[in-house]
Amino acid sequence: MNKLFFNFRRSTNNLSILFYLLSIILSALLFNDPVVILMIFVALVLMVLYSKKDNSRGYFKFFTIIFVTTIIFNLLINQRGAGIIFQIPFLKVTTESLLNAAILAFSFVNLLMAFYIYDSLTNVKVIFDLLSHKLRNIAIVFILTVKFIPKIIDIFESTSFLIKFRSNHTINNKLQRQLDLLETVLNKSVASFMNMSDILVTKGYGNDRIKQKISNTKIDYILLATSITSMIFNIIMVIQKIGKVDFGSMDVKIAFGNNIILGSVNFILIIIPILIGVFQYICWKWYVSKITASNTPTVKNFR
Amino acid sequence: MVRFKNYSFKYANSQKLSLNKLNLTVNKGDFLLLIGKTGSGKSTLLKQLKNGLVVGEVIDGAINIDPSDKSISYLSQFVDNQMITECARDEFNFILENMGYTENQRHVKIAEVASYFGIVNLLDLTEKELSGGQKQLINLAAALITDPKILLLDEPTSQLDPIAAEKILQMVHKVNAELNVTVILVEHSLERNVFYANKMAIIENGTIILENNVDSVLKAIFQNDFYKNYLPQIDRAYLEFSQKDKSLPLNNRQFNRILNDYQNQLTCVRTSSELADSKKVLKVKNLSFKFDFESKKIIDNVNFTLKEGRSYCLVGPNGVGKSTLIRVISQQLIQQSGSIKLNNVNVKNNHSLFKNIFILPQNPALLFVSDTVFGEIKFQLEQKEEANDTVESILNRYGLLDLKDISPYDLSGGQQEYLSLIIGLIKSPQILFLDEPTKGLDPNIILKVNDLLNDYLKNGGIVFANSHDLVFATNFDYVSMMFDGKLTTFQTTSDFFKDKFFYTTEINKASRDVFPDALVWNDLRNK
Repeated sequence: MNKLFFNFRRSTNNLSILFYLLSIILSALLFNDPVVILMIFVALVLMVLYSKKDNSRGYFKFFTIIFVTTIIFNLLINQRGAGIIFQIPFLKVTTESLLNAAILAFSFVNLLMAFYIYDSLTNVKVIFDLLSHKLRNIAIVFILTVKFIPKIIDIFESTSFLIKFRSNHTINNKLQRQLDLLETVLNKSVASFMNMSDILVTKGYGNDRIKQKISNTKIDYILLATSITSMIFNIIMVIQKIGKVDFGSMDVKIAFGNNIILGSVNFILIIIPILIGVFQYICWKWYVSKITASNTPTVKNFR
Repeated sequence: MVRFKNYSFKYANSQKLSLNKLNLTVNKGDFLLLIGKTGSGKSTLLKQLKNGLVVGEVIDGAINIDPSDKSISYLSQFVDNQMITECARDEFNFILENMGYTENQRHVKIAEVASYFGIVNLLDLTEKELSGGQKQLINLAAALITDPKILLLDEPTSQLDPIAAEKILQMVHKVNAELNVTVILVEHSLERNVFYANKMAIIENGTIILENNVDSVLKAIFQNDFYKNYLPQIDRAYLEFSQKDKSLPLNNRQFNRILNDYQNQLTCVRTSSELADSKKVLKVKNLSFKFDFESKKIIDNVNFTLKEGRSYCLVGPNGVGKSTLIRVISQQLIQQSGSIKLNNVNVKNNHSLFKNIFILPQNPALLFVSDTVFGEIKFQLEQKEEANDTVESILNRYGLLDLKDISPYDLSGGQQEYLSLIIGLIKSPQILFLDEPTKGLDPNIILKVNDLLNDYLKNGGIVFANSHDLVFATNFDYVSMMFDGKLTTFQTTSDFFKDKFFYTTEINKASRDVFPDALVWNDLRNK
């Protein structure tokens, strides 16, 4: 899978990738029809596998925990419905409550997976380049935030741990303790921020930055066109109330109709990088590799 | 190319002059090595040459700098968190875009710099995937990608292991010699650096007190009781016992020849001997730790015991898990398997751990809790049940009185390190864990730290340190090497170093055929 992904990533520019990512996040956000979200779920799982990073196993564990927690939590707070599956004191599980719980859990996990894919496909510089075209100050705030927030979290964690080696007395007032800690962290963060500002100076940030020109390939045009069209399509569908159910109510049920078309469109949209990757691979295997001078035995034989 | 004329400068938040009537000239193509004690104004001087790095007021004098600010690059001592973007390729593009290079020019520049520095394979790796040496090489490449005329280096190797540090210095030398880039290098240690510089200067209290070629400065500082401790080990040994007629610095081969000539007049005072047994305080058994499920073990089945009144030093390349080991022992990270017992009690969820040990982390600023140095000492004294000392007496004893009203965050890196160590000594725990304690310290402060640690050991304390400074490591009772998550058995210092071929002190490399036990200059004495 990975070689398909790498080739796809190399043949697309940052702008088209960003539009694709926005469109899949929108798909994961907009709908709550069980059929649609299930189809989106399957497509997102395929994409997570396709774009997987080293720590994807940890993410899958996290997705599972969120899924199970959401189901249990929703079953506890929403016990509406007539079709009782089983009942114990204080808990009644009905077909409707289970369906509601599943909708919420799948929606959550879909959104998490969409952001996982966003995290895999984009990087700091992509956003910075796009923002710096018009919004230079926002771009630098963004880049500093991306660098700085994990730094502050790290400073907070290390400080709150290391203080234990200096202090023997326990301050009973929790609020006072937290305020002291926050003040210390703030002081350290300011010092760290000054270091970051030095780095920006040494990297020539204050100078007149040249604007990036984005060149598009055929694949970029396909990805851009598909992403923008599907975003418009999805918004129209939401306005038409297609792909939406009355979430949380007793009336929620699985139905088949226009939602199949909607689900299929979103399915294809989400897995489009896989389709492009497979297409590129087939092209290579069946055409390009046979006309390319190479020292691989297959081509030698062919020649 | 650069000329300071009676230049005086003070920081915005300080009353004291950081640079005081400073005069210094650096010519095109020079490789200037600037040394001075901790807090003498070395970094301040360097930062004057790049706009925007210091906020303060020029009180007197002027600086003439020939090239524009765009032609001056700066590389700091910090290896981590120097990249704004995620990989070297993006970082180079970011810098070049800021400098107004077109897409085609950027492409050529990245190709050039990646080939020159041999980092083509590192271009797309993230910061997490790079070793310390690789990161600093990329930082150096980033500093040079815009064809600077002057390269400013602020202790660029202080956080690197000796082998990685040597590679960086060789690359800087190549840039200086081949591309005629003027280099100003600020350092504490003269080891290695003296071979590449053509000029040296000493700064004291913001003033240049000596400036000349390397040979003259090395010979001059031998006459000065304070600065003679800065001398490289080989040159110090040579100047201590011979005719002093050779040009300095000497390399190991030259020193070996001299040693052979003087062999009959010299003796080695260091001998390897087993140390007496003492009470076991900390026992680490089958300790393993890894960061992620898929990643390899950064600490792999480690076993050792720490005994009362003994010192232990861990050496090894960057990124092998030395700091992680301290973080696991202190329970900042929890081990996946194995046990750590302090005074025969498991440290897991055991609050006596915090009382009985002290951690000096790699970033000492993480320990600070107050707005002033005075406040830091006061806070630590207040933690003691019986405090016989006053804050002033402590400040006076450790030479911190001049710094008492300064914010600990405004101290130089070396001063922060020293202050943190003093805080640890005031606490006087059973074990001091020190992560790179000599980072940024000048040689005289290192000697002072050695004395302080020896006093602490005499009172039954235990020191466990990670260090890249092999000369500092020779002062420990036991040394071990960490690699691939595993620790070699702790050996006495002489035994550890004498069978090492690469990872040993310069004196040992040069004298191993004549005096195999000699590790530092004062191991060799006239008979």
